[in-house]
Order: sequence, then C-alpha cells, then structure tokens
Amino acid sequence: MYRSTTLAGALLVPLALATAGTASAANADENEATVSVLHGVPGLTVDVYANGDELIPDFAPGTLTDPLALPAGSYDIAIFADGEGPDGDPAIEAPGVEVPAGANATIVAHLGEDGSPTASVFVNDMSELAAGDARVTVRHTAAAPAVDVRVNGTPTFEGLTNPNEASADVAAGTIEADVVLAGTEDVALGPADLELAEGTNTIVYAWGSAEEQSLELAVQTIDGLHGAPSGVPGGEAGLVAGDPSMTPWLFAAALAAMAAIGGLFLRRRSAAERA
Amino acid sequence: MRARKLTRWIMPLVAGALLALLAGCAEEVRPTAEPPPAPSSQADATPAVPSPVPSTRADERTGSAAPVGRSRATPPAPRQVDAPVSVEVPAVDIDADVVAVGAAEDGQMELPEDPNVVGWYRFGPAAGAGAGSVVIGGHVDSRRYGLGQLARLADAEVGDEVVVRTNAGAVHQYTIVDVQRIPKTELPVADVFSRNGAERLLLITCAGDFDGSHYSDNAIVTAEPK
Repeated sequence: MYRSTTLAGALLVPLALATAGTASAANADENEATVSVLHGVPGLTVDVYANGDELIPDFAPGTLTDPLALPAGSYDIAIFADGEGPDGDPAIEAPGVEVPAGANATIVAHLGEDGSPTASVFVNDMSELAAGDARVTVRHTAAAPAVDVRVNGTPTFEGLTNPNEASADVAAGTIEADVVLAGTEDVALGPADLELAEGTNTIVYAWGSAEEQSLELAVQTIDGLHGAPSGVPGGEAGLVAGDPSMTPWLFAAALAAMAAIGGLFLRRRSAAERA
Repeated sequence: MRARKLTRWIMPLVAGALLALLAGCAEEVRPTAEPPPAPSSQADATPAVPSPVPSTRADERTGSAAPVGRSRATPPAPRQVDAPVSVEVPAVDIDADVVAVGAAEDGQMELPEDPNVVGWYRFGPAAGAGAGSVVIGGHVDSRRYGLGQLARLADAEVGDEVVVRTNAGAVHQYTIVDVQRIPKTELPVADVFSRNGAERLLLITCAGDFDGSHYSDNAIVTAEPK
C-alpha cells in the first residue's frame, strides 16, 4: 500500500475566479466545488472512494469523469483495485485532499515522479479569456523527470516537474505539441496536434511511466470561458454621418480633404486664381 | 441535503452542454442525471459553511449510487460549422457576401476592409445553431471603397425579412424584430456576443456622428428565425 499526502502546487495558486461563478457549473454555490476526476495510473481499473463512500466504480485508466458538484472541504481519497474495497488495502490512499470552495478542480490519480501512485488536486483556471483566445494548460502527472513542453517546436513550458502545471493564454487555433526531457531534444511524448478552441481551457496531462514506456497524453477541455469583443468598429469615412441631409456636405468635405492630401487642391486653386 | 448535492451531477460543461443545445434536447443527454429535488426547507437550512469534518460528511453521503458519467480523456472532435456565405435584406436592397472573421488586435470584432463584404463572428454561433447571437458586421463605408452594403441598414424596418445562405447551401430566414442605434461606448457587448438564449441574428454597422475617423454609434438590427 502506498501513502501520499501530495497536494499539487496548483492548490497554492490564487484562485482567479472572479468571473468563474457563472461560467462554470450553474448550480455550484459558494460552498461547493465542481470536481472532475482523472484516472492516470496505468494498468489498473479501480473503484474510487471519498471519505469511505464509493464515488466512482469501475474507473479505467485514461478516463475522465463529468464534472461533479461536491461540497468543498477535505476528502480522504482511497482507490481500490476494482471490487476490492472498501475494507481491503487501497492501492492508492490520499488523505486530506483539499477541494477549495467555489473552485473548478480536477483530482488526478497518477504516478509520482518515483512511480508510486498518488492523487493530486489541480484548480482549473476559469478566468475569462480575451475574445479570440484559448488557454492551454500542461500538467506533469507521469513517473518521469522534469520535462519541457514544446509548442510548434519551440520550448514553451520549461522545467515542468511532477505534480505541477503551467498555463498560457494564446490565440485560438491548432498547435503541435510534444514533450521532451528538460533541456534536451529527446522526445518523450508526441508530437500531437491539439485544437485549442476559442474560449476553452485545454488541459493536457502527461501520465504513465517513462521507465515502463507507458507515457500517454490525456486531454480535458473546459469551455465557456470566452470573452466578447470590445466593440464593432463599423466605418471610417463619415459618409453616412449625422443627419442624412448633411451627407452630401460631408462627402464633399471628405473629397476635399483627400484632394488636399494629394496636392490637387493647391494646384486647382492656382488654376482658379489665374483664370 | 448534502447527499442531494453529492448525487446531483452537474450538466457537463464541455461537449455535453454544447451537444445538448445543438440537438435541442437537453433532457435526453443524461436521463438519470437529476434526482428528485430535496425539500426546499432543508436546502434553505444549509449552513453557510459546511463542516469540514470528513466523518460528518461521510455519514451524510448515503445512497450515492448514481452512475458517474465519464469518457476517454481525449481531445474533443473539432467543431463542425456550416459558415454563412451571404446575407440579404431584400427590402433595403442589401445583398452582401459574408466571410468568417475573428477578433482584431485591439480587441474589437474584426471586419472585412471592403464594406461590400461583411464579416461573421466565427467564434460565436453560426446561422441555424439554434442558440445564441449570430453576429454579422460590416463597415458602413470606407475611404477607399465608399459606401458599403450596410449603409442601407438604417432604412430596414421591423418585419423585414433577412436571408442567410450557408456554405453547405442551407437557407436560414429571419424576421427583423428591432432596429436601434446605440452609442458605441454603451454597446452591451456581452449581450451582443452572447452564446446562450434563443437564436437571433444581429446585423451591426456604424451610424451617428463622425469625428473625422470614427462614428459615435452602432446601428444594430436584430432578427429572429422565422
């Protein structure tokens, strides 16, 4: 039996949740959290218990639950091989996993850097994105050393270690991502094409074990984080400005201004003076 | 009361909600999702801060045997969109090609440079999506091209028909329900670009006073599906 009290560094991140309340689960009140659970331990179908009660039966590696509304607070997570709980020895035990009030969080059952199973909580950044943007988050939940995540060939998230995360807001679109051992060109995972849809937080987990050659990517997508454009610009010449009866005058003025810029105005006036 | 919360699965935020809207059948997505509502008196009596003692919570968590929805943690399928390619308002002789646009560097909606072509905000709903604002905007004029198609938008009236044709050949018909002018500084962008609620089509351009480079107002025509 393995024991772990690991909590992700993510928990210490100040919650950027000012706008998250309406964007996330509609029913979550201030004392609840929206929680998804990801199974990232290779080779073991499990039953997940929280505070002694079965939360997720028959949970297979590489699967992610739908978001659940849970009371915020501390959870003793115990994970048993399928059908062996709750009286036997759990395969993974993570007492005191804190689920912050109001947060949108993901609990991940995964391997620690040394290969021992554990569970971590990550708080998902639900803050509103700028119009046209997407958020990409990478989380190291694999039995592997520090890695760099390269986006379109450029190291973008460097020196990421288990169980930590990094995130950036980027223009929406498709990226090619791969994972290399930190500071090297040795590809551990990928490359994979990822569509970063506008208004979403695409969360990519590296899970499994480098030593066992079982590294895989898991992807969680949270949408509804889009922002609106700040306005609609809509015109630039003044041709339809104000009272419609004024339009011909403004049109003439605009033409005159353009002529002046071209130097035509001066030449025409000279011609008129000569006449 | 806590047991109720524990067994109440939130509607999936991601594909589930979107699919439900697209399919117009939110109730069918998760037929077993909603347990019977708990008595409201109990819900109202929920203390502001639940006890953090795990054992208390464990004792209250009973009967939470509802299946938990789950799926492979793989990327969602790319959104398939049937983009609009033209918009017509026959009553005021508007017939413009439509191109997909996004957000400009300054954070405003991007618009085609040529005011005879209008832009559809591609991050929002497409015509026929069934929910949210389909936003089509265009320059009213341009120093280079003169008056644009939407210069005649101000003459549109409630009851006029709007026709949007799509890349796949679909024809979506709308009826104008509102014609208004709003100072640009007061444009309710969250509403204008909302992705929720009943589907409506918004045609937006500029109007009002001109300060030499900008107009003071937006002209907005709102239309609802026929």
